[in-house]
Amino acid sequence: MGDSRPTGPLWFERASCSRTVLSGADAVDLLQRITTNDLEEMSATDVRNTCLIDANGRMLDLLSVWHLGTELLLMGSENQGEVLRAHLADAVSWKDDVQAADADGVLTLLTLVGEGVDDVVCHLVGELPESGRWLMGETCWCARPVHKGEADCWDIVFQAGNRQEVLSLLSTHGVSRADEHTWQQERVSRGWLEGGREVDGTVIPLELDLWDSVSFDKGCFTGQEILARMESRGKLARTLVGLSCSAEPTLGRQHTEAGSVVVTSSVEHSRLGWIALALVRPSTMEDDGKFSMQGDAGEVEVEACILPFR
Amino acid sequence: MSILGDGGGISLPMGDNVQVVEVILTITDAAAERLRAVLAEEAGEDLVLIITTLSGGCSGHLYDMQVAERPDDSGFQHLDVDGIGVSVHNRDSERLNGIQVDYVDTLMGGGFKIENPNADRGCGCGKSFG
Repeated sequence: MGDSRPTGPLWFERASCSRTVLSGADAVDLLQRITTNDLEEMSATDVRNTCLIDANGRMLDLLSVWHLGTELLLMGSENQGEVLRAHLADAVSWKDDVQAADADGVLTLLTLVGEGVDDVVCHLVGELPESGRWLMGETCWCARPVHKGEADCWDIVFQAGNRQEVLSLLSTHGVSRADEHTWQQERVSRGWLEGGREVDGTVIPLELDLWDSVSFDKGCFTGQEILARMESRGKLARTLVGLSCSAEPTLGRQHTEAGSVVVTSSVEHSRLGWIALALVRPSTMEDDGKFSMQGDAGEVEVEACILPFR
Repeated sequence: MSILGDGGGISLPMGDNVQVVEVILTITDAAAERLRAVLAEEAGEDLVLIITTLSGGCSGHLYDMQVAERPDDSGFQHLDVDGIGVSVHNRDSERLNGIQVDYVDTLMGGGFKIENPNADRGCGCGKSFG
């Protein structure tokens, strides 16, 4: 069994998630044209998720867009910053009034999880932000994370100069720093996506259950035809599920009795044992969801479940 | 006030890393006739057709055509195609080089159509290419 999860609320630094600030009169219009969600009606304090996909509907990045009034803060998936920025640079027309700044060195993103974080957020920004909204405190901005999730999780963003003050406040309120293994336990058990694992350029947003990040009535956007076709057919080739495993599963694609399975992440959880995220055929869930697959140390018995793990 | 504060962040190059080519394009007789009519209807001096590509559309890029005064911007290439002034921005030059502008008049909705040898794909509505 892996390391025990520390008790109490935790913070995890999301350093590999890109932070990009867009400004200019056409910033929203640009994102409206090249990403999946309807951002046109966003106004200051709104937060919305949207996907950057290619013309084949494949995921390039999952973005949390924070409308700050005169600027948009884009927070991307892990390790996808170069892809996002190259895409933005290519997408800007001579007609577009859009400027972009790499804010990775200026802004810090932390995710807070665990029982009691709501109280901490109230201390940081005065009250709990409404769903789909951010709130600003003296030292940071706060909103629910890009991932679907339970109540006890928040993203906070602050300028690098406020780091000590914010970390000190978190410490005062009993929020501990989570190490990578603890973060992966939280992430995988909640079914949260990670750039380079679940968001990898081969998968379509609907296969990752990102329905709330796609608008089917906003008009054309890059990759729209593919998503519209999948939606109208009502059929997905594969879907992201959780796997409860008897031992460590092998990452990557393998053929099993349940068909092709792509294991994207796995971790040994202190309460749940070995768990994984995987793309499987939807029919797998219609059966009993049990099958065997290859593990790093031999055969592994697995049971597929709907996310998050309980 | 910017969220970036005094730190400012690092400005990213937007649309600067493009290859510039000398644009050659053609206009069919039907399109030329229609364009001359449109240009004659518009008020203004030194009017040209500005052809642009915008990101978006199902396949990645959209065409945008407008009649306007000849842009006073050194980033544009100005062409004379059978007596019709056409301006294309350098940023679009690689994507638009070699295109043919046509005009189709049908009961089910006609309009200008662009045949683009640089496009690998297009979408059903014909306005998007990639």
